[in-house]
Amino acid sequence: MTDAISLAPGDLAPIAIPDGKPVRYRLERDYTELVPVHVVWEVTLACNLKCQHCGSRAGRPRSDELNTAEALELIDHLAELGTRELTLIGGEAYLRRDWIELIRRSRDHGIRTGIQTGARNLTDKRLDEAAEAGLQGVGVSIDGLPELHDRVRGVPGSYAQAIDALKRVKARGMAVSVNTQIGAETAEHLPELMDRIIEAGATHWQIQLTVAMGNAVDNPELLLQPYKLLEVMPLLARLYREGEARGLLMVVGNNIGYFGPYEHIWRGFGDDTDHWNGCSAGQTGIGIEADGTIKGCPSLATSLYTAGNVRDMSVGDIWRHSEKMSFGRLRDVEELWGYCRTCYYADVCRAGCTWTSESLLGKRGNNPYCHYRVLDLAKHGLRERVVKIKEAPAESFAVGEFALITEVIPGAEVTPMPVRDPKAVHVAPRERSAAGGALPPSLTPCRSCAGYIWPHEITCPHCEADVAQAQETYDVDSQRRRALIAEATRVFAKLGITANAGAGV
Amino acid sequence: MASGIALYGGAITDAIAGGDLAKLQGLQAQAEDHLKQYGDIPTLLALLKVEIAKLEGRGKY
Repeated sequence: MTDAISLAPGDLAPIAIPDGKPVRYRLERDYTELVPVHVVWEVTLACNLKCQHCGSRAGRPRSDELNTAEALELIDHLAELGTRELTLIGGEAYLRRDWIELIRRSRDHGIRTGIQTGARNLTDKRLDEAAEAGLQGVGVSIDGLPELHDRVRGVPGSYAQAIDALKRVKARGMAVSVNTQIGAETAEHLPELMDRIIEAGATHWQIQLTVAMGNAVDNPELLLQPYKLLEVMPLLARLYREGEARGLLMVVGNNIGYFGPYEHIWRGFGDDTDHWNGCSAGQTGIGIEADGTIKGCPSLATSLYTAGNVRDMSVGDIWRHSEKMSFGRLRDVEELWGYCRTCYYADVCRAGCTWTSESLLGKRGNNPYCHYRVLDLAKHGLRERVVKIKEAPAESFAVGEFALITEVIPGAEVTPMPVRDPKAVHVAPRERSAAGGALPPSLTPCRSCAGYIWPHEITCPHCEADVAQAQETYDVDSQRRRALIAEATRVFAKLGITANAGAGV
Repeated sequence: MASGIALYGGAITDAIAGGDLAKLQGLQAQAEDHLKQYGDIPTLLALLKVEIAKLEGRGKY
């Protein structure tokens, strides 16, 4: 990789985020010019909850957390690198005395700024100060209905505080979202939880799987088994549609996927050209720990992915030169193994969320939490589950290890899995920019079955449709739809009929 | 390109549902609200025409 990223902020190509897309939306230039678009920063490890699944084992502050001057300087440097969104987390961000100053500095740079919180003792005073400093969004973590949430979070009454916080944030005009982790018990809670968070004013709902790191390794019964995706994914698709109709936009996290029958609804908020395009760690994102440790993603294991520390090197130099930062830019299908190595989507998916696969199996590149994979196995009467075989050490962001067991689905007829040749896996050409970045591949949805296919396909490998013919029919239908939308909009405007706000507003 | 949703980060809060389906559903909702408020004029018109035709057709035999 060259040292060619020495662009002054003004040298970066101007940003034009498409309408309706978030500021965090990745543009091509973010990949080619290596812009850390979204930074997630654990500003303190101090926490007032005791979550059974906490990957960072939060509770006490780290012994040498960045001081105010160091933290403010870091924000200035992130702005220079082109960061557009900053999420402050912990622990619990507001347990850091200078958290308001950090918000204010971030907002002074025009960086979209939010926090993710458990919301215990998120007082009116704290919210008022944060709002005044320019905080734009508050994400509250809620892991299920009251009994489950309080148990998982380790503090009775924490659900009530979380829901109450949503309402108070909404009343102050800030954006309100909820993060929910899906563990072994969560699925049945989701429909009613969705009702409750809509009532409390949430407009966006991030869904993700609990990952085997830190406290979650100590409590492995919390983890969803991979084969449960067969039930969970259709449920999420149903809730997505219902939520959208009620003004709530479901946002799936990076470990929900990949390329199953619902991929076309997960990532584009109505734009099905957006699909999973691989882990963005070290390409368009940065994670920061409270002591100044820099990683390509906030959740990656510290022991394996520390790229540097801002007390030793500037974040810009770490971003440009650290090997542990650049792994995401340089990896290829050769690092994949198991099912993922010979998957049709190997070169675009890259085994999904690095954090999830590495924390689970001890080596990234093979990820059983994949809808496409789970369905493929099920067609052959098989399923996968995970069993802990090694404890995680006591450190923050520590991992243990799980064994992946392939077994017969009870009562199912078993047929052999096809033998797939690694050499037959399609590898997309990647042109590396002078800065060392490269665009991830772009697949298109087959217009007959909506499954994503590589651009070279003439016949869809999933449904055997003629790709060009299906596209032609789709284009005709699409033109007709758009003409209807235009006509209806024109007629309604003449009648003085105004639009309702859509989901996410 | 897709937004990339870091799992320890907060949800996107500045994305809005778009695409043809969302637009069509929005327009449907507007049309239904309008009908509820003002009634179904095309159906009324058709019925008016039927009744007019019946009355105009009387006494021809």
